Amino acid sequence: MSTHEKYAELLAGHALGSLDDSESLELFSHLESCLECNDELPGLQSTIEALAWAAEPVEPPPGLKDKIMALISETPQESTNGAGETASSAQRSHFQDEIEQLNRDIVVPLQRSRRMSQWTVAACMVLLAGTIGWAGLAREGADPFQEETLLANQVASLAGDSSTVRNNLVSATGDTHGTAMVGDGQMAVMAQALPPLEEGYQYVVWEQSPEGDLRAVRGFNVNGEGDATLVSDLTFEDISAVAISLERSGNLPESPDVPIVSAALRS
Amino acid sequence: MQTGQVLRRNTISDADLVLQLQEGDSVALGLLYDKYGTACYSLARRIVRDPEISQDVVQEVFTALWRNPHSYKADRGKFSTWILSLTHHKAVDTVRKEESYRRRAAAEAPMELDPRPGPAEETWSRTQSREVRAALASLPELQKEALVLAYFGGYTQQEVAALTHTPLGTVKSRMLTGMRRLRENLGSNTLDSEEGRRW
Repeated sequence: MSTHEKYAELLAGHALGSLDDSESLELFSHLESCLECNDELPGLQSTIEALAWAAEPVEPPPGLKDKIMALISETPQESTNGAGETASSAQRSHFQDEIEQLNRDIVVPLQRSRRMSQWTVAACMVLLAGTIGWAGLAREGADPFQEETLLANQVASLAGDSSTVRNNLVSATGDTHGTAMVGDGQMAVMAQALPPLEEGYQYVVWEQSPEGDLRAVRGFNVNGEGDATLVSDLTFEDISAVAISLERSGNLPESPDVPIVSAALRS
Repeated sequence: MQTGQVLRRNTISDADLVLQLQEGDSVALGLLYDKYGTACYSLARRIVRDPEISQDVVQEVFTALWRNPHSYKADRGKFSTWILSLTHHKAVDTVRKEESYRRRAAAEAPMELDPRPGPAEETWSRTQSREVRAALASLPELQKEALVLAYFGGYTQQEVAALTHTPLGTVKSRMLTGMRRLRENLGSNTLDSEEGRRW
């Protein structure tokens, strides 16, 4: 079986909602770089919606709409833009948290313009240059491949706006070191020289919200040199810090045991 | 006059309805319910079986949407896909808390096509529903079983493997092959149609 087929099977399982947490983490990490899987993703997602419509149509009870409308008339809306009331965390339903998790679980295919990921290209160039200088990054942008050159130019353009891009050296243990960058609605976390994974362990990325809530979000695929890059669609509004930790496979703890890499992000 | 008062359900896109919802227009929620309430309820009934619990699932989905309409993000896909995913998620979560026999009953319920034309049979979306069920019914039995157990039964791949006494790898393969074949059977006209389908 090809590598793609293996992950395509995970993709189908994820679309059906039938993966366990560790498989989902593995899949999310793989999707950051696999063009084949990204090509297959929209088709599987459409098929899943079709499955939903396959349920035998059953009219809901006539009073259900009225019940819902009456209920919402007494329910304030939460606000995410500063207007109106904002429900406290205590008022939030468990289901709202589930919705947020669902939104994270809905995988968005990489756009064509982002393939060969601009962040990955940027990360590679930063690592090659051995520095985190954005000016240097722009000079290193020359690339024999047109798409990569274009992407590099996009990154260089981003870098010119210091209000939207920050990079942060992170605290780390041992020889491990890394970088976190946020900009243009994306975050990239890069780590180098992570310790080799032992059987039964996995790397886990943790995000801390500005409110202090901690969430394990994704796993890392680490190459033979212990290098890894993770890209996600997050901004400073979503997270204030990230960390990578080594955890036993299976159920995750509520917080990282021993973070190997961590970074506080500044807006 | 509230914007919602001039909305016409057949001319307003889901994206616009969500925008109105985000501005606090409850009429928009009612219109979204008109469009997707039956689909959500049907899906919930298929998974949890119990009418009362199915109502609770749909009620929670729409009140959650009202409470935080920003939770739908257009860049994550069509609204119809999202709200049905939400309903599926909630229904599966509910059923996983029930006795396992309920889940088995849901998954083993027949996917038969009703040959009798119903009062709404003429509607385009009901035809779509029939097409999907026919496409699902045309899958090889083992592939269909794997998909139905996972999606409508709420079982994980490992649970499906245990239930069907089948190696996990085979179950994964059946699910992928079944999904691909289902997509082929349905064709792009059914899968990629414009938003706003209703029963």
